[in-house]
Amino acid sequence: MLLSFDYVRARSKDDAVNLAVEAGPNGRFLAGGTDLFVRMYDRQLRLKTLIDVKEIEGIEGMECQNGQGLSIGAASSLNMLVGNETIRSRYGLLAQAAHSVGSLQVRNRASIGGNICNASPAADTAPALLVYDAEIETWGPRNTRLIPISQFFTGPGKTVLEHGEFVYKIRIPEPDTRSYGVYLKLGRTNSVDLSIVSVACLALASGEVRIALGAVAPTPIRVTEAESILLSRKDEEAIAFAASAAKETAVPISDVRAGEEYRLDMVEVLTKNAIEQALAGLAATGEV
Amino acid sequence: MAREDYIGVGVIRNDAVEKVTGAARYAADLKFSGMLYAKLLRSEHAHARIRRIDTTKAQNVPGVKAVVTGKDFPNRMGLYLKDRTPYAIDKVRYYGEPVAGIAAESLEIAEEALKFIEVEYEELPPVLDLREAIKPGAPLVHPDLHTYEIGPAFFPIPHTNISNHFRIRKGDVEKGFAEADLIFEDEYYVPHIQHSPIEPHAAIALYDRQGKLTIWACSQSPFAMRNILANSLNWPMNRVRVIAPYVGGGFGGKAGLNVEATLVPLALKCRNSPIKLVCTREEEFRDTFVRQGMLCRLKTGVKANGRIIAQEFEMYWDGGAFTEYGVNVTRAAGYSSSGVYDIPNMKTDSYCVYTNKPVGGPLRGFGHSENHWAMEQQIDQIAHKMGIDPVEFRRINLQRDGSRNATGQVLSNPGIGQCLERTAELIGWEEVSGPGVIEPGVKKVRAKGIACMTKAPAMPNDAASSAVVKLNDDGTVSLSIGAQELGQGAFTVLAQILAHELGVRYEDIKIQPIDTDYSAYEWQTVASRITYSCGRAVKAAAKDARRQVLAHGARYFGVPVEDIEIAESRVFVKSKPDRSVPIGTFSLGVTLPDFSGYGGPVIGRGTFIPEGITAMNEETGQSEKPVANWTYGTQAVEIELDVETGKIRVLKVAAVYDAGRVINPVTAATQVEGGVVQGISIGLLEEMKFNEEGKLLNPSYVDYKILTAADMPDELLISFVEVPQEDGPYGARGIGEHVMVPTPPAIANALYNAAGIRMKTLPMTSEKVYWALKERLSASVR
Repeated sequence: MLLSFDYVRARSKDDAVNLAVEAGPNGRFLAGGTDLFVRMYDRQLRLKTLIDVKEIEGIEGMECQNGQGLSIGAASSLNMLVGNETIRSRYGLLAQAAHSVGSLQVRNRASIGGNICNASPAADTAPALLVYDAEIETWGPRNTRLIPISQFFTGPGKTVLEHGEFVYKIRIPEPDTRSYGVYLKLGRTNSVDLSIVSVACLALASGEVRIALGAVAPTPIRVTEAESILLSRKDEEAIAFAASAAKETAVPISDVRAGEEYRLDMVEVLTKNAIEQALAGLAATGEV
Repeated sequence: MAREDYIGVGVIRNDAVEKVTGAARYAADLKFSGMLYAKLLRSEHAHARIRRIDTTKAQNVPGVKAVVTGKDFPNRMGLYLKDRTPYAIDKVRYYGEPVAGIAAESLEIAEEALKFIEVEYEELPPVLDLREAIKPGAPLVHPDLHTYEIGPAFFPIPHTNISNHFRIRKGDVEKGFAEADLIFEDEYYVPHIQHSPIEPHAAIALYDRQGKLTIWACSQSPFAMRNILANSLNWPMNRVRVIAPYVGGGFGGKAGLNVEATLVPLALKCRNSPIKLVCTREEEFRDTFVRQGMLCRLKTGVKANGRIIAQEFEMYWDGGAFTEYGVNVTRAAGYSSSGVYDIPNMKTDSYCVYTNKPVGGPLRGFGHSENHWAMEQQIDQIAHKMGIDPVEFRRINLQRDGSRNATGQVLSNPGIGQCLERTAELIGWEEVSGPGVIEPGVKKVRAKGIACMTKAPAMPNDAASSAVVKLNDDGTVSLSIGAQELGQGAFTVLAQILAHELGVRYEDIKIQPIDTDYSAYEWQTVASRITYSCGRAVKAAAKDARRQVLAHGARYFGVPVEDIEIAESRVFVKSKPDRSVPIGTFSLGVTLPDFSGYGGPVIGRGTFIPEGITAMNEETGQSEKPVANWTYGTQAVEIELDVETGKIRVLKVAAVYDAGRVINPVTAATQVEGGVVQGISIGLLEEMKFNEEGKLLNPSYVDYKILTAADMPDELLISFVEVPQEDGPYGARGIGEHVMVPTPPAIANALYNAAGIRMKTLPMTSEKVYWALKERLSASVR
């Protein structure tokens, strides 16, 4: 059962920060609440104040201007991302990742900002944001900052956010070249499940291939060792090396979902398949 | 004017609009003024002595109305074996067992007050492993087992953890094995699983000023619940009343008496205050009935010509902390232990074993999903070993007209042969000549697998049904039954039978929600028995009402009764059909031309009890008619195996069942669809995982996975065979449970045909399949 708590709605960015500071350690920002309420219900969190950020101007919706990249309001629901034409066509990997979260009903509530602030190692949007080199725009008591996503997560459920600081926008730079992304997620079921292993792979026309993994380390991770192997070569052997390097980088745990050994083997399998599919997709979109 | 034929017609379900619009009310929806809320303090040890409970502080929390512990209600209760009390007394037997209950003015207060109950435990060695539990000298979960009251068909072994030992001794099994050309032996295991109904258990209990106890509950068994409660209270039955609205999915989990019992001592302390309990999803997983785990050893002797000549079957059931209901699962799995095959010499031992795990009980299939998991894989294993196609090997051994099953019962024209042939045809069966081999570089392989099943209603020999049909003034009809609508479509099918038999419009029939004070008696809505058993009662009640209407009509029209007919809710003279009146004309009797009255209100009554079922011999399990009937079926699947991840996808399922006579082809097909989906889910995903202390690790859908819409097969081919059931209504017999039974072994058999790996432990998760594949591939390299 949910214990009672105060619900306050922030009217502005400053208001949100002030309310959070005022609420102290028993306060928490609220977006979709799909992770938060489960924890509160289970008594893992006993919160006194929830500060709803959804009414803050600009925190919901997407903007994409040529040359400026994509800016996503942190409280945008995952279904807004899935349904957005720009994201589907230009940042398809992010749409795939967002679509793989929970169920349709959950995605109506769950926000992209919440997905990353919850900082689950298995957060589905995180590997996608990692390969797009996203930056996290935050507002807090000490001002606003832009944090590269690669520096955002510090451990399971942990981020660099300070008390009173919230995620306002997620900024994705304009890719210099044509790209094709693939998100592969291995769950027990084909929907409404957490990842056992997930892999995001973005192949760029520049020749660069970016790879990130979910659910196999304390945080979602980029696997630069694997990426560098593919810089010069993209033959079968190189792909196998890269997949093997990804497996080397992964440090998964055994839990009720899957064993460590299985996860490691699956990192290799999924990485290999993701690279192959991303390269093939890139090649196919290049043909006119 | 013709009599409307409603049999074999896919009418729209009579609960459809209510349920689709959200108007249907379930137990958890009910509210009363002055209602109190209950919360239970549950054990955090699997096995421990309770040294001290102090509820004083909790009692003093403002808003708390009552706190109870085991000592407040020491009477044992249970359906077949009285081994259970609502709250633990002196010791706890599973992690989650109720230790104390609180009734308070709000749920918040009840939950907060739980913290103020002080319990001091002394831990005892938990009995968590089946193999350990049956060893001599194992700690006893129920040291007093020998003192418990138990039904006549059950045989506990005193001073052990075995609460039932069921035996089959048929023919000469030693001689059979001596004559066998091939003897094949293997072990199989199924884990604990949950029913996963949409609606969690909910109940409200009220002990009123008249001294009557009323329970509103989501129940498959309002009458059995009344029986168990009155018995344990030692009260006359008319002081206990159970009211049961629609059930939002049961699957066996809402049979018998369950969490409702915990409200009784609270209600007795809070006279005139209704007390409500709604299980959390976590409680639903662990603290209602679960399906028992089962470990078995199966040994089969076969002649060179492919005929099975002997079978030895040992089943050990992980019955959990209380086996009041579970003992009958082990009995049912025992007497059906020949499966669909004709085996002349048999020895079966089915043991129900107490462990410190959640309470085992009925779950759709009732032991048959478990024993068929073993039997139907064993058949395939032997077929492969002998180089015979699995379908052909089944053909050789199937029960036929005149075959004797495990209990020695002579079978009359079983429909399994037809089911097998049609299933093979639907799936496009091609001869299988050996294990699947995965060529290097191949990422996905496909194969087909098949499995058969049979099951009888597992119920007491005298499980009865009854029905009362009342004509209302306007000619609409009220049907009073004690059978429950769980989503399976019982109300629809029973209304069809009534409409057909009485000659009224289906739309004009309303079925009353169950109230044991007013509804006609029904044993329980379990065992796939409602269409068969209650169907017969409704048919008889309809006939009785019809007889009365015809007599009224004859008197009214002044013609012989043979010249009167009823159709589409009108009564008419057959020889002069224009002489017709609405059936409502006679609802309350007949008004004659001189305005005098005759007869009286039309009330039809009907009852049914399956006849001639005799007890099985204690030593041998033999009986000429041990059960009401046998339903047969076959399923085949086509799977695609992802070789790289071990993930199985079921692409296509063919399912054929002998329903005797299909009353409603739409509801029958949806039952099969649901069963197949549940079967795939159990086959691939479902497992309750416990740690070394007996704590359930996955009590929610986060980590107890069930099949989702995205995992559905692409194609489901459903068909019915109709070999009439002699005593079924229009020849019908039940299929509700059967349809989930053969899916897991069919998938396992397909997996072997695809990749040469054999999974003997459920579920067939990607991870397990992956390691089995790796092992196979490395073995073939060596």
